[in-house]
Amino acid sequence: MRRRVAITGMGAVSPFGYGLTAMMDGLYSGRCPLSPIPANQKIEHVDCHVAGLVPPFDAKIPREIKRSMSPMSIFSWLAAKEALESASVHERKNVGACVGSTLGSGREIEAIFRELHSSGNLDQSRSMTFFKIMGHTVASNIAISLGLGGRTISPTSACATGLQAIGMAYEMIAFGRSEIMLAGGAEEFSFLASATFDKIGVASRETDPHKASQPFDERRIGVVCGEGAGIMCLEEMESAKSRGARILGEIKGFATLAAGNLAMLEAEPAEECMRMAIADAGMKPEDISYVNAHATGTRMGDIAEGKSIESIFGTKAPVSSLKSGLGHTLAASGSLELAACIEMARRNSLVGQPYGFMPDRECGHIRYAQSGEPLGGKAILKNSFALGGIYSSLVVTGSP
Amino acid sequence: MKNAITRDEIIARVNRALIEEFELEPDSMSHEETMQGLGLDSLDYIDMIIVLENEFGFRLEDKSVISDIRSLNDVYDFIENIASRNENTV
Repeated sequence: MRRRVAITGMGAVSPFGYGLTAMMDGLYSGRCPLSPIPANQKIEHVDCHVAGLVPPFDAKIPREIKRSMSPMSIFSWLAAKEALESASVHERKNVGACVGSTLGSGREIEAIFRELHSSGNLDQSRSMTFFKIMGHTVASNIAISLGLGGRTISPTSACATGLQAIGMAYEMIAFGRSEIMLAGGAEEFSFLASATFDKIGVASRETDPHKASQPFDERRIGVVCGEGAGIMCLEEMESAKSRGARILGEIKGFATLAAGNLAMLEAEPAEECMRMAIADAGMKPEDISYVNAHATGTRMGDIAEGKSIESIFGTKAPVSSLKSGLGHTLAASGSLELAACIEMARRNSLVGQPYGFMPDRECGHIRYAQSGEPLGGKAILKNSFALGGIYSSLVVTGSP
Repeated sequence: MKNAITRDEIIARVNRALIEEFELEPDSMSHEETMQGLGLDSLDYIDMIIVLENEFGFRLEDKSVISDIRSLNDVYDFIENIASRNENTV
């Protein structure tokens, strides 16, 4: 017996700043939040110049909470608090967390190895270093700082982390293992991500932030790394209704699978994953009224995803990628973009491809969403794929 | 050899270092205040040693000796004791 799972709260920290409203206002405005990478975070011969960095803001976090947090845990703490507040969840003993990141803090990893290399010892290493580097740093920090007492698990799958975490949390609730979960992904900008994309030849080398991230556009030249955190509050539907919670949306189906290529997104497994998620939701392709693509702006990846979307939907479902607006927030991307989808449903207004978009015909014969286009009242399919051959797709409905 | 460090100087330097490291309020640094009262726990003690080692130029081989520290006065006594044994390093 599968229980229904509601989305009752959402929180976001994105390159547009703190809060879901800031992200949505930014996405609808078409404003570019990408910026030049600061000189002190650049590496010789790594040819990336632009990133989607969270603008500085004063989070006012008590030291005893902040001490074990690198930036991505701070982003997550803020997003989780926003999600809990919007869900009006006050009793947290039974709330769990399923939140991951690509790595532990890249900045702390860099710092500790720099110290070891320069001094030959770790005498100056602080007690909190490990708590920022450990793989479950974000989930642990959220759980402890917010007093969560439910199951706390930290899935990690690079750029698919956020969506996989939501999918896992959905299944935990749907199959009766949890009642209420905070779920999502977090990322902080570090040299490692941009250098990795550059090394394998898929990073954007554009210096103009406005032209750097252009998914599905014939002028696209690669990925722009970003940072942030997207956290959702998921809850068993009947329990949410009985306490009078506002139902923002419902997760209807989820699928994830692995395929053979480490670094190259392939159309066939992407199509299989989407079809599995639609079937898991008990739906058919015609029930999907919008596809929120993973599309990161790589030449081959966007072609593979576009063609897989074409195979299932043809030109029936409008498609867009939010990474022209947000950059690629990696582990946070799935959850941030899913939160944006739920908001699009609530406002009945899609965020389409940006002004001046020049579709690449090689990405398949698909229909791109127009900004402001109504959703059509049906379900949304969200894709998140990752280096390492990971595919995930999730089907949601929103509540207008 | 340096001149012997005074207790007032120790207090000023300890307070400054701990305020900076642990984001403490200067008004909270009364001599009798306990470390617990300042919001510092056993993990913070590890960092406190590093901060004090850097500030006063000593290196503590046996970190366990600081487990007896309960208050700021104990910290000042601890540094005074080290200073009296090795004035070159403070």
